[in-house]
Amino acid sequence: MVNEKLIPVDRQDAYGKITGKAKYVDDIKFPGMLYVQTVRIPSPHARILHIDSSEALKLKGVVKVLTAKDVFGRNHLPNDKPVLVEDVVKCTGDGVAVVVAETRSLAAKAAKLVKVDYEELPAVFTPEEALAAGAPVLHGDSNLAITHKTVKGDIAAGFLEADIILEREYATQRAMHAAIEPDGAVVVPEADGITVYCPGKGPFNVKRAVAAACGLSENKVRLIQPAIGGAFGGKDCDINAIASRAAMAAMITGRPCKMTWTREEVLLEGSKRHPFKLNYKIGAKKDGHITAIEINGLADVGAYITKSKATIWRATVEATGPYTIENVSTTIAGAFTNNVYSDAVRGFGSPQVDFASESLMSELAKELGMSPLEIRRINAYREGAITATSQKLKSVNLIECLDKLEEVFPVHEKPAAPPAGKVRGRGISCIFRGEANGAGVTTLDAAAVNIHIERDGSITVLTGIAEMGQGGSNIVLQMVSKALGVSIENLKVSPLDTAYLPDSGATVGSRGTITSGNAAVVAAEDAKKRIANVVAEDWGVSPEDLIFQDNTIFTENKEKTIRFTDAITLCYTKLPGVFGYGWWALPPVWWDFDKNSGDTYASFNYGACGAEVEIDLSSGKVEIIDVAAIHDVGRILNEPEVRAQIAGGGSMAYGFTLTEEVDIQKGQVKTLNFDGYLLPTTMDFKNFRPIPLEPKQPGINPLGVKGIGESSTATFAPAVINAIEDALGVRIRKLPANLESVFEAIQESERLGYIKEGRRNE
Amino acid sequence: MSKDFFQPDTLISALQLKRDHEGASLLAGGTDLVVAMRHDTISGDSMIDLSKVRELKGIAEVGAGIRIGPMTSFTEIEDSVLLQTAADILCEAAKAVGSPQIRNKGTIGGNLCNASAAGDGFTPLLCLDAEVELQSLAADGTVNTRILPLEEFIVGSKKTALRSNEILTGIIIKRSAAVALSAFKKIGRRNALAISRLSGSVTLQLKNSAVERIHFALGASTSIPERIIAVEAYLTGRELTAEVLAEAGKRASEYVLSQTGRRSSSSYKLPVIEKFTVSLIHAAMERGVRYE
Repeated sequence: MVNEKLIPVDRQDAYGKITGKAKYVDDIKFPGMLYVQTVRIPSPHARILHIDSSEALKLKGVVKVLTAKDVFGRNHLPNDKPVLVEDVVKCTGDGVAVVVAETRSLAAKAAKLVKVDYEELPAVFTPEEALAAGAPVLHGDSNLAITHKTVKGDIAAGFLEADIILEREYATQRAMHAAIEPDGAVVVPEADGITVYCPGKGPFNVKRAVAAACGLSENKVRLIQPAIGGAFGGKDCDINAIASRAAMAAMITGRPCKMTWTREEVLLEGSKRHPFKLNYKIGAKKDGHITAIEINGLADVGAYITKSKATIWRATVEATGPYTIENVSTTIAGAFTNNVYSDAVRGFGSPQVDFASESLMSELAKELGMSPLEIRRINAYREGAITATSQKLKSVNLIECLDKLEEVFPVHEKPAAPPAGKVRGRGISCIFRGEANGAGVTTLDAAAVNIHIERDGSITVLTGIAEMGQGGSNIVLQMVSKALGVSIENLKVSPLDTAYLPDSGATVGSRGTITSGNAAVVAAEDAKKRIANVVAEDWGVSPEDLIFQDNTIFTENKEKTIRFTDAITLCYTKLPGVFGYGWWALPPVWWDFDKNSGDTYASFNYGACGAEVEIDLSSGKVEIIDVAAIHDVGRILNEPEVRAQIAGGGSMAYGFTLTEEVDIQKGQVKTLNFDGYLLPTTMDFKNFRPIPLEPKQPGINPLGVKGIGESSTATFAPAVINAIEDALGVRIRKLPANLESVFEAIQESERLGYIKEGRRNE
Repeated sequence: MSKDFFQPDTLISALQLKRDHEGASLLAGGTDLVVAMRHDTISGDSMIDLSKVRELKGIAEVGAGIRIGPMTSFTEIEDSVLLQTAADILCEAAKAVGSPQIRNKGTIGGNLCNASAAGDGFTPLLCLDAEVELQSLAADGTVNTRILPLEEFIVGSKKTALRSNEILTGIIIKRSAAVALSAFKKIGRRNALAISRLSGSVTLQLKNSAVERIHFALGASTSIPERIIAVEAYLTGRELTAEVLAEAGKRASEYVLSQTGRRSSSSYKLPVIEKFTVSLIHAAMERGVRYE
């Protein structure tokens, strides 16, 4: 594809969403529809002895109470989340039964009348407790859910070479997606199989999970996706459980069944971001060269495994940060606990390790009396660098990101004088992040786009990449529009329906644009070839000589020209159909679990961030004065969209950095709504400059693109925390840096004399 | 869930409904009540919506004072030119409430009657010597009126002096003849939609650079928003030097500790109250905002 700027276009889904015409899952209603409510118990670990639903069934309008015994097919995979708990509840979010009733409020009322007798079991609430000798075990014979490693060089020798060795511990909290739309599903029983309406980032994954849970073959479950009110890495395993429960109710009652969670249920049962504890030991020469790094981490997997293996694998691969280090040892483990389960959240393990490694780099710079930019430049990955997993890197654009940072952010200057009672500081960070699924997922990373050109020349585009608000559909339309020279107004994306769409995998791993964007080009070129052959034959020219542009097909010098629509009419006289089918897959990747090495991701993207903060010394309140977030996106296909992706990731990272936390005490979820789970508002997330970078070397795929959805969440926290350290001279190593922890740092700073009489003592 | 929903359009019919349905909840915007309904924590089986009662709305000069209708929204308070010139700390506090949507729906009367320790409307009104007017309708149709200082209206966490047949019908600020300095501040975890972690107001008059008169109130510190007399007494007659302000901060913090005992939040709150007190009084002196 020619490397020229594409004109950004408005989204096709915007009109429906703005006018309220778009239907979300909770808008979907069918005659005779029943409501399904999950029954839970307040114990995080308990053996169920007896479930008595007689009182609930006495209520008029209560149709059924169902338990694990009613699950038709597979209740769960080993160590995984069940549709309903069979015998042992492993966290307070677990469903032990469902009530099916005529109305939502009746179902909720009846759920409280289901009497569950259970025996409390000893429980574990931290990974450390979980791995201690004699701890109660959740699955199999150990709470050790997974361990991933990377090993390179000789770690002991590396530390011997070092002039300075630092050891630091960092911790991140349990955060969540906080999509504005809570999870839900509606299931309609059909003559042969079921139809599931639900939002989800991986519709085919949900289809397979529901089919397995219902004992149906996969082709008997049809999933139709309504508009999605955000996913942010969620709407995944939670939807599997919800859709499976609703499906079971629909199959048993023979009536359409709906389950939509309240916000409280999203907090109580929905998956969360893995809390990590990370111990870093780093050795460096006086000149700043890193000689060795040893990383030991422990993540809270929660009650079920779901995608923890892949999340922790990514964290392990990326844990060193984007630096060439000869001697590396990384071990990150995950442990089962009786907390709500951890799963994919936008960033998928990267924000946790990036916070740690980038905090550490600035700590090291300070110890060595170097500038934080300089130490990063000295160690930064460059073209051909060898990673901790012995992978040789291509398309390495880190230095360009750092150059850009130096250009747009005053890294070397002191902040302007703040008002009385406040202090200011600046910090930076940089990252690398693996593209798409990587070798942590074993299926080939591929997507399809099919285009059907209608008789009138308008074009229907089929793509399996879920439009969750990220603008993925638009990218596909742009690619088809560009390749066929047809205005985007003549294109329409079909609703996502597993009955006729090719499975393009889940919309995860920031893979949407890379996979479906490239597939769209393949599909459009396929259609173009078909059309060109017909037109070229008619004109007696070679198909290669045809130009598709401005809704017209013509030869050079426009000696021959035909409107696209007329060309399609011509095609239909010669061809059985006018279409283009295209699959595109990332180059294969591999991972040797015994040797802990491999080509982990087909490629990586890079980013750098500069942040300036102002801290109120009387309260610990942090204000963002300026953030410049630079990301290597390979090639910009739609600048407003890519800027919005960066800003969206930044705002999510703001919460991760300063305000958001799901508080769980002894297995009880204390944060149950948005009054306690504090998302940043537009009054908080401000002065943010998203800067997409088109580097000299594009991404390694025909479009040259790189994913941005998740990298955008990873640089903000360390940059802001480094800025807080710069302002106070005291480091916060645990997220979120809320009022309390920043105020504690202020007090420490005053004790150390770094802050004196309301200003920096300089 | 309510069994009966009433929407009177005159004060007299509202008072009559409250007399005849003493257990009824009063809907005065709903930003707290609707949340309580969702949590099933409201008592009573009926609801009286006051949103159509004109007599309960608006801001007007009455004699030497200003009368604020309890059904006046925070947006209206924030935008009131009269209040901006005469009681701007109340406007500042209104601006700090929730979000534009909540300020459009939420009312000052609802805020006071909800009697939360973190209610942003209290501390400015306490420092402005506000009084509340409470009315009820007797069986014979006579309207009974009580006027209470705001301090006496709030009697405990989520508890007011409002009787079950009464409605808050007016908030009266007596306009002080003297010139005063004032400030309102709030610490929240974010810049909008934040419940006060700490809030406070101060009004003070200086004479020969010493404090002649001071009202100083804190919210979200003890079980109710209240004036901290220990601080007011200490500062009266003193010059506001750095040492004196630091001592005032200590006394504020000590008072709060004496009321709440040590809590998990104390390690943040108590030292912050010290600094907050100092910065609040500083802000009043710097702003030099006057009300007459």
